[in-house]
Amino acid sequence: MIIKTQFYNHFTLLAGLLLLSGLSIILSIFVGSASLSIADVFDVLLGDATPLHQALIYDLRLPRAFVAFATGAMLSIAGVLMQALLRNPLADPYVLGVSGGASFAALLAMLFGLGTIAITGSAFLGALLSIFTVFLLAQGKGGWTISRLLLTGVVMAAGWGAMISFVLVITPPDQIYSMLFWLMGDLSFSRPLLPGLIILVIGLLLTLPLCRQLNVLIWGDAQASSLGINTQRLRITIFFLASLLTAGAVSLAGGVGFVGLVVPHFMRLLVGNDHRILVPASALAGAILLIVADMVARTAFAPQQIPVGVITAFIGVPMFLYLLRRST
Amino acid sequence: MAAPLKSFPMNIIRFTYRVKTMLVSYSLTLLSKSLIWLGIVVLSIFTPYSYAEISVVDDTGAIVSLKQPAQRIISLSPSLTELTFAAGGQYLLKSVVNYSDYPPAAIKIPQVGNHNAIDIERLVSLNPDLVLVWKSGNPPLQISKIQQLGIPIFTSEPDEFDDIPSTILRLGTLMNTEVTARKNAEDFRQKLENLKKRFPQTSASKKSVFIQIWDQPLMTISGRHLISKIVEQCNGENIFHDATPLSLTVDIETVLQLDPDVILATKKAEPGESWLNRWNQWGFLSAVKNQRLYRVNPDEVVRHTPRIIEGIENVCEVLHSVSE
Repeated sequence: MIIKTQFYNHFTLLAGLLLLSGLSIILSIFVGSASLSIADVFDVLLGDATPLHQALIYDLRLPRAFVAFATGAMLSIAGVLMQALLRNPLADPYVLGVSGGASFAALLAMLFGLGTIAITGSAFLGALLSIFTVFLLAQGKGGWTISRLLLTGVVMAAGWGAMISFVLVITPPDQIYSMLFWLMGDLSFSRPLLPGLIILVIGLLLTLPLCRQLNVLIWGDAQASSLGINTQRLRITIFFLASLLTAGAVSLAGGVGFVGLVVPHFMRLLVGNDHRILVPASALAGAILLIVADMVARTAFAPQQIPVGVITAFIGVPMFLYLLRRST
Repeated sequence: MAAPLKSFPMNIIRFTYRVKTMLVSYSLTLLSKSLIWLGIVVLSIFTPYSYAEISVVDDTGAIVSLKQPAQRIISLSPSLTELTFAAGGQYLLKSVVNYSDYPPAAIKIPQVGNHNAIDIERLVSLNPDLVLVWKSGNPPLQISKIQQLGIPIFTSEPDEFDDIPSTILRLGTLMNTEVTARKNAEDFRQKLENLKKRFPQTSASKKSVFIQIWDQPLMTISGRHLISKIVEQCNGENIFHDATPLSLTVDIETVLQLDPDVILATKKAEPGESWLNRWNQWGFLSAVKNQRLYRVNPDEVVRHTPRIIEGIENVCEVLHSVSE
């Protein structure tokens, strides 16, 4: 009976989040620096509007909302996975250097004046390079331990950070701006959206069947092994899944911070530690957070634009601190 | 016997006395002559400069005083390098910063780093007697370090077109190359006057212009920026004239809604063309409909140097062809 009410509660929560994420996408169609009345938007949706209004919605606002949705969802799932994998509440998608590798490669592409697709592609390749380097280096004599993985990843991230600083220093001053926006995370860059959505769907489909095992894993290796779970293989799977999702998110939007750290904790406070609920709930909450944050980034100082990563930090940090105080 | 005996020493004495007096008087004249010469030399070294110390007022209002014309100059911005050349100080420039690429002779001058990261050690070892500082471009902490070391600085912060000849003239005074400086300053003023006559400002046919200085993120500049002043000189209206920051990141939405008559990208050939091509997806834009997407060489419109004449001419030709 208790289990049943809990199921209904969780079901309501997920349905509510789904509804909210839909609403936030719709809201983001209405909000922007160009003034567009509600009637204008309905005209566009009904198909008889000026080309300007159609462009505002179909070329600019809607694609950007989808990029925000995909990025927020990917980062949040990756955050949940990393926190379960490392059994460390401080873990976020960037802790193991994935974003560092992606950023370094993207910045190099910008330095050489390559186009958008080349920048996105090299970001993804840089992320993969970093993932495999960490994976191989973390395999020491005694096999693959969590602390060694964590330390290898953290040191790799620091190394990428140094290389990023070096690129920034040798870059001509007029190009610095696009690099800073990229590093802080920004959705105004026009990027191919489809690969990001595909990675999100694949990542989610591969993560959901693992959730039951994740629930056991967070209790420790001994319990997991005694229940017949191959912890080593599970860990490697989680590592690659989380990294793939992070790579997708970073290639899509640059280094948007705080979403992958704050959203999983936030959701854990709301729904508990059952990953079957936690993973989809975090995905939706992350998507909502990023869509809302991007609306603020687009309009707060309009027509001046600010990187969305700045806004996620401004929204995420106080919200999280408040919840943390209330829960304990 | 006695007399010659006596007289001999007397003669000797007399002789030595005569020699002595001769020597003394000779050496005295020598001394006095050499003293006079020394005086002349000393005076010729010190007199002109101790009497006429060179001083000009820089763009911060500070008085720059030099005991003698600057002989070893270091320029800390590409624009100041160009202005120093225009003021006739080509051979006095001992060092410049990165991107000092005009006139071509500037490329060969050794560099002291980037305008925003100066190699102070190298700068000091070059023993400059004047450093030309770009106020809004050089790091203030590094500049105050240079000042602490007792090296005279001239701070430049040009704003209007007229600051270009004014800076050339002041640099000419500091370097004692006034003839060249005056000629080039006058030449600039004449060319500017000619351009103003050739492209008169009329309120009737003003065109709205979006000035694109960067693509991703999309960036533009406010009315205070030099590029905007050039556009306005050429009868154009910067659609972000009233923005508060000097340069800002803007939303494509706003540009689409403001629908400028002309889109002007300040970028060299390659990325510039793809920047402009991006607008072609929106056929309803006036600038796209009427094929008014243009590009100018940024070096001719962002640097406060005589080259700006070419920039003004290019921008004016574009905007006036639009009006016709």
